[in-house]
Amino acid sequence: MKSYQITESIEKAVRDFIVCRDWLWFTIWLLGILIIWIWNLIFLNAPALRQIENGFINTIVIAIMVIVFAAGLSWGTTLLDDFLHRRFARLQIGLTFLINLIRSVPQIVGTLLGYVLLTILMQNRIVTSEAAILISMALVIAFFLFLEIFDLLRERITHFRRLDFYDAMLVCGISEQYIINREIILRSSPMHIINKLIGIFGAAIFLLCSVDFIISVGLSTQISPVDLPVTLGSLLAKIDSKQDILAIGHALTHWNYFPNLPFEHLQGITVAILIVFTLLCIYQIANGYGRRHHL
Amino acid sequence: MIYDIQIKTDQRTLVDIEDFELNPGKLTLLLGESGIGKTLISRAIFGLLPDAEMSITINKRSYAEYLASDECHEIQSRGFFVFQEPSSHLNPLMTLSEQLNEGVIEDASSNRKILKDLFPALSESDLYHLLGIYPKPYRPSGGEKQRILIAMAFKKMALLRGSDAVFIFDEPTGNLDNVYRNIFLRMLIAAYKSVPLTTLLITHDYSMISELLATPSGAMKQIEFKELRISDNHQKQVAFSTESYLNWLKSLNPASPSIQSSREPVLMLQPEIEVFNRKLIISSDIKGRDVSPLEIFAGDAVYLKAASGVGKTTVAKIIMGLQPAERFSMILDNRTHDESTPGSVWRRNIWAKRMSMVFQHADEALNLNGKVKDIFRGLPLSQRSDPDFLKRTLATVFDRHIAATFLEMPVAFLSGGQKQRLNLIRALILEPDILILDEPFNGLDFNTMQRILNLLQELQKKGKSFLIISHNEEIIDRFVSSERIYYLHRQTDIKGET
Amino acid sequence: MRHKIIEHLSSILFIGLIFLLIQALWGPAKKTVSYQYLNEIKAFMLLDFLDLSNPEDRLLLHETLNYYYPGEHQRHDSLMTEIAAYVKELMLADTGPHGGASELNFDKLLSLSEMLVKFILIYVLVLLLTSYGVETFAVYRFIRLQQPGSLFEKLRTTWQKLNHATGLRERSRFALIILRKILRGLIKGMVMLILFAPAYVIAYSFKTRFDTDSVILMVLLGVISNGLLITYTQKYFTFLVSESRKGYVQTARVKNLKHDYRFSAEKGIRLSTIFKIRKTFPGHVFGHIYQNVRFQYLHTLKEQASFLITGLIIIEMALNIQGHLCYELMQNILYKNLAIVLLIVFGIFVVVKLTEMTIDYLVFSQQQKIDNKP
Repeated sequence: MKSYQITESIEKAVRDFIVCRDWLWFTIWLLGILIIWIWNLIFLNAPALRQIENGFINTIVIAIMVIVFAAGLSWGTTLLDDFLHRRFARLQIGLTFLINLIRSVPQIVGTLLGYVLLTILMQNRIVTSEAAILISMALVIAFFLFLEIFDLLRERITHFRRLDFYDAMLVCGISEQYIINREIILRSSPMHIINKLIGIFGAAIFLLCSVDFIISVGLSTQISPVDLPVTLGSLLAKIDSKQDILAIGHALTHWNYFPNLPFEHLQGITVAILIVFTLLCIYQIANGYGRRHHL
Repeated sequence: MIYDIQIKTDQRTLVDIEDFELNPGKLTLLLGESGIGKTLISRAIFGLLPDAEMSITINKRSYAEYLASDECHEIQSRGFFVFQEPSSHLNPLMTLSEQLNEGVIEDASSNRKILKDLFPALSESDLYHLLGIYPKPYRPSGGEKQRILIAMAFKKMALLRGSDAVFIFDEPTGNLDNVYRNIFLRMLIAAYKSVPLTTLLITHDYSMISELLATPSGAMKQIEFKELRISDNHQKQVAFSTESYLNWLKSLNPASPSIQSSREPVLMLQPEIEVFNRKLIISSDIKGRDVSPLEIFAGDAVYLKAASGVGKTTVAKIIMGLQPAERFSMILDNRTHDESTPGSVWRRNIWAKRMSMVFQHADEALNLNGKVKDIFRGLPLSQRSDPDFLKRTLATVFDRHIAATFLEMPVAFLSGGQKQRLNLIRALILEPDILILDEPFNGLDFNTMQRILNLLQELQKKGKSFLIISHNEEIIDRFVSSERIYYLHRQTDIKGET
Repeated sequence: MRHKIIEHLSSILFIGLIFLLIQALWGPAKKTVSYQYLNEIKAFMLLDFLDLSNPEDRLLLHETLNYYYPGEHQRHDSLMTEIAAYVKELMLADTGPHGGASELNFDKLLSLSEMLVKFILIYVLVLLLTSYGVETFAVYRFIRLQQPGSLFEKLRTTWQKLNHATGLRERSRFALIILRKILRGLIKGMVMLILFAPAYVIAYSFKTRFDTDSVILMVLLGVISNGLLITYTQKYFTFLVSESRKGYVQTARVKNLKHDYRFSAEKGIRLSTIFKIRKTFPGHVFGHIYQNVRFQYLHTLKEQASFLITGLIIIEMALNIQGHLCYELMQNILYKNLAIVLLIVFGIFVVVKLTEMTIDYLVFSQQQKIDNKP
């Protein structure tokens, strides 16, 4: 291949990549995290760095588990709802009632109360291992986020039921289970579902950090009776982190203070940047994905 | 005017035609299979395609240039485009009269005559009432909505004052009964007397041909019959021979001989049906006096006729157990099925085993996100998705050797006619004894229609029966023997006639 | 509609009953943890050289015990755990509740109701502001999108002009234009970061204590932080885009309604109409689109309101703003005053339900009209 052909194909590949805005922002996110990590490696003390690493990994792990749980919960509830709709219509009204109830609870209040329940369980030593605690945290958050996916699945099923789609397959002897699971969910809706899941990943991180922040802040004047695994939210709530973020505000009014920020106030600023940057990137990824698939 | 149009997306070429003719001052009737590009071409000419998602060139100019040209501005400001699907082309948040009197057709004075012509059955007050409602899916009916859109076109025609303009009608009669379809055609031809119009009438309703051929010879000079054909992503516009069509029509004969009185019907549906709080009656005469049950014998082809909106599809769904009814009774396999029969009876005994149904809109009935071979997954076939078996089955309706790549083709890339054929095959592959066909020839071209009718006749000889619902009366009337035609009426309509 | 009202009211009733049940079962009982080794612990407490609240001392004690009494590791482990728990309980009991905070008397109820009203006022204000903001930004973005020439294209043409320009003046002019656009992009990025930041990140950048009355601060934070504006602007924008693809828009075009989106009074859209509260676009295709989206967005408005409440609650709790409802909530969770906690949660639940009922009513009344019902 001639040299200009190579450059042309590289240019085309780069242009195609940039057009796929979701992959672009994912790469930006990864690179950003890498740069922040390297900077901290150089300029932050080791114990603090280890805490930040732990916190970040815990946050991401919990958010991934939230996605898995939310997907599973919503799928199960959809199948249950559809089954009741076909056979026991009265019970379906009850299920809808309960679901609307969950929907009306503001997510943060529900998560907070769930955490309180979790701490009670931890105090009574019913839940002890770190893995179990992480899973429980993820479950609590997933419980208040899965309804979005449930709504999506139910809307897709209703959409196809209204068209000839459903009837045409029924009369050819295809079973209802196959129609719902394979044809509607797996084959016709995976992009919608993935788009929602990306959004829920962001919402999970937001909720997680907020709840942990609130718990740590609210109880920082006393001693916390239990030790929840460290996440970005609880890191942010520590006194040193709060001082670090305060420095940003200070720097805005005293311009000569700016150079000190990336070196002396690294811990708090790193945590704050990690949270905000991740949320922004997830939003752009979800956007780009939706736009690419014309959702 | 000759147009050289290419329309491409980043995945494939949608339209590539070099010599699309639209002659000024003429009424061009454009026939052809649905989904091969007639709508795209007409929208491109009118300047309505979204520039950003497709790459379009017209007469070697970019689409942006074409849109900025005087020619396009002329077409848009003086012409009109009646779109295909009336439901989605009316704003659900504005009343019909608001939409009828908006923009350049604001002037309400031309309303009266045009609406009176298009809605002859409605009194002044009924019409006034109709115009005051917001368009919803079932009310006004599809035919009424379509006539409103046609009325808009005629209003714009009335503004022309003697000079030419381009009017494009994309499947304007799909929801109309023959009566209203003929009214529309007559109004259109009458408009030619006052103003030389350039009209493109896209349709796949071949019965329109006979109606147009009945116009006085003076007006006939202005009518051109064309057909759009596709091969290898390349479109061609050819002249359509009305003679060969009429000859074919004359040669069409029903397959099986008349019923023999000793045979038992395979399916018998009692003539009184109650659904949606409406009473429906089945009769074997067009006026509705000769009330009789609908009987289907082995090897039979039965034609169910009714005015648009009465409920043919609903009755078909009731027979198939998809629509609960307040009252009906049907005997199949010596067992009575009625409104109290649970749905599981159909699921266990009837669907795919004794009866099946082919639905009207192939786009809805097929999963457009799958590939051709996926259409056959999940079916209760004895021979699983064996590729050779599938290829052989597909070859019965598709007119060429089926390559393995065809099985892998995404359904969304097929043309409308191909999808309709796939839809048909999915039901036929199960070899049910009775098959209900709801508008099976929707969107098919002449050749395919012939092929399918031949296929149906072959199956009839093997003892399979068909219940056909179709607005192609001209064709089906000849395909089915006259004793096997049934009519569906609303009880109120019959009472009104005496 | 009656269905929905019954459902909403019965969920309020249902939750109320459940809360009463919880209160009845777990309210009055003061959990007393029984300690196995209470006597030993009390004995250890009396030693004046041993400070059991200091973890180092506890560790020392643990090792000493294991050294002097080998083979009883199990017992020592559980003893140490109990000591830790006992000490913590003591400390919590020391920091007793504020005067009157644990009792649910009339004064307390009154102050809670006051705080609830304040909460509702802030909530309604923020809801109105964000609704206006979401609509305006989404409409603006949509219209800009329809206008010919994207930013990228403009940058590219300016770059080309720069390359072909002769003379320092021309070159510097084009260079300035490019610089200005890049600067605009950077500022946009900064603004996005702020809009996405959770409220506490922004707030703590400026102050540490938020005790004093700060309704305006809350409203401001509620509107701009937590990514609320951006997320819902995006949703509204998506609605606009998908609605603009629908058929009736084409019919409107063919009726020769204006379809130019440039900012001009006669041929396009006037810029000032975008920023009005009641936007109308007479004679323009966009009027059809906007009308339909406005109606459809009501369903998403419920989501927006719910997320908004979540944001406000986070702000109140995270910023420890005294005298506000959710700060009370957090304090009472800490002091385990079940009755007050349940009451406050119930109050918030009722607010959410009232919002849902209002929006359902708005949807219903509009739907009745377009369903052709009298």
